[in-house]
Amino acid sequence: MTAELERAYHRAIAWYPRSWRDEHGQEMVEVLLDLATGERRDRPRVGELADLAWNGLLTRLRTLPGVVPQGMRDRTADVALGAGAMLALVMFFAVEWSPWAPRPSGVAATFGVVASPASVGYVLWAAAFIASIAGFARASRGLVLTTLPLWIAVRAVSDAAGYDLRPSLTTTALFTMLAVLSAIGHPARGSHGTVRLSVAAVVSLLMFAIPAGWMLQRLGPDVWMLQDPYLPWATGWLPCVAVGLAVLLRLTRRRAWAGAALLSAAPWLLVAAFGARDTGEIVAIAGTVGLGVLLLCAVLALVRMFGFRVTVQRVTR
Amino acid sequence: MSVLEIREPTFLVLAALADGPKHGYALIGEADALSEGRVHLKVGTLYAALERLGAQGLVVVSGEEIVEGRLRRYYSLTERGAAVLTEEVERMRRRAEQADLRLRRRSRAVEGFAS
Repeated sequence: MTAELERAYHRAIAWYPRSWRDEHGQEMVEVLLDLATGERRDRPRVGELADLAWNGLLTRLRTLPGVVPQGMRDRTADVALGAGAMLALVMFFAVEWSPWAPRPSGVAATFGVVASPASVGYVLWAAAFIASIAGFARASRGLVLTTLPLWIAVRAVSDAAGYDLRPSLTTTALFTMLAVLSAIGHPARGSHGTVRLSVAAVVSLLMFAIPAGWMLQRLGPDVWMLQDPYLPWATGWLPCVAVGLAVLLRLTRRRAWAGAALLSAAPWLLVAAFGARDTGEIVAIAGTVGLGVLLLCAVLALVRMFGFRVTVQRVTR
Repeated sequence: MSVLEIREPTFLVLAALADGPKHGYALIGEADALSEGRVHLKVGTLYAALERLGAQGLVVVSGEEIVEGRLRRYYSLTERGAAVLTEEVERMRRRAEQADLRLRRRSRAVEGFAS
């Protein structure tokens, strides 16, 4: 029975990262077994298991910064801040405000001239971007992190006030993930940082504005606002581009940027997967990503055919 | 005033180590006794506190032994840990004295009002 209990405790500490288990695992299991012997138990307590799971996950989160190199986190922060600010801009104009179209009569309640209090969050994202460009890194981070509790408040206020067009769960989840990514590193400072952020912003703006504009074109000029312009069919290709970009960056030895491209793609991939209405869409997204990788391989093969060779070398410092 | 924020489980671990090195199981028992049975430290919480206190230089591993086939790792308070605990105890004592003073004033006021 003791052997079974010991196995149960070893399974329970699997929540902790391997390095932690190597250091403390056996000792923790011994203490757990001592406690069980003292209490004449042959099963773990539910509270013990919950405590191990919670502390194990927290330990994993704490060790995450050591797993992802600083340079990669800094670049991810750049991309996330630029992408978040530009998406906020598109959301504000295309979804919340839509000044080009008349307000439809079917909408019961709006938040002044805009659709919902989510506009406050979008303005904060834009302000964070400007603050970062102006060199106020801490203020920028503070503004982005302020949006995290704000989304909960926005949804609660929208529900209470009956705003028909409150931000969807997908929207809030996406901005939450981008905020977390922008906080895991320090966006670059000085002129170098301005260039990085501007490039990330311009590329992001093009990626969001093009589908939004295309949808407006498709739906007609009378559409007052767009709903969820990042539905899988509209932006499911973003992770595909990111994966392709990451491979290219890795091949050109820009390891930190390659990692940043993959990390930055994660929120879009998750949103696309959870936003998918059925498994068919998920398969379509996975297929698109796969096709993107295949396409890239085909391009590399063509390059090889024309007599060029792309090699990957480990740089030893 | 202490620069470190000390929460109750952390305080109990430091206090339990004040009179000598102890292993994990003993620390849980000591915390239970010190809090008069109010705080039952869980193993995950204990080791998270020990890891944090170790990183802050307040606690160190001072030895290991095998007792009845089981690993016992002993933890001790460092000089810095003892200083932080002393400071925290003083702070708690001052707070308790202030609260006691106010309770005495209250008692006198109630007595004066009654007479």
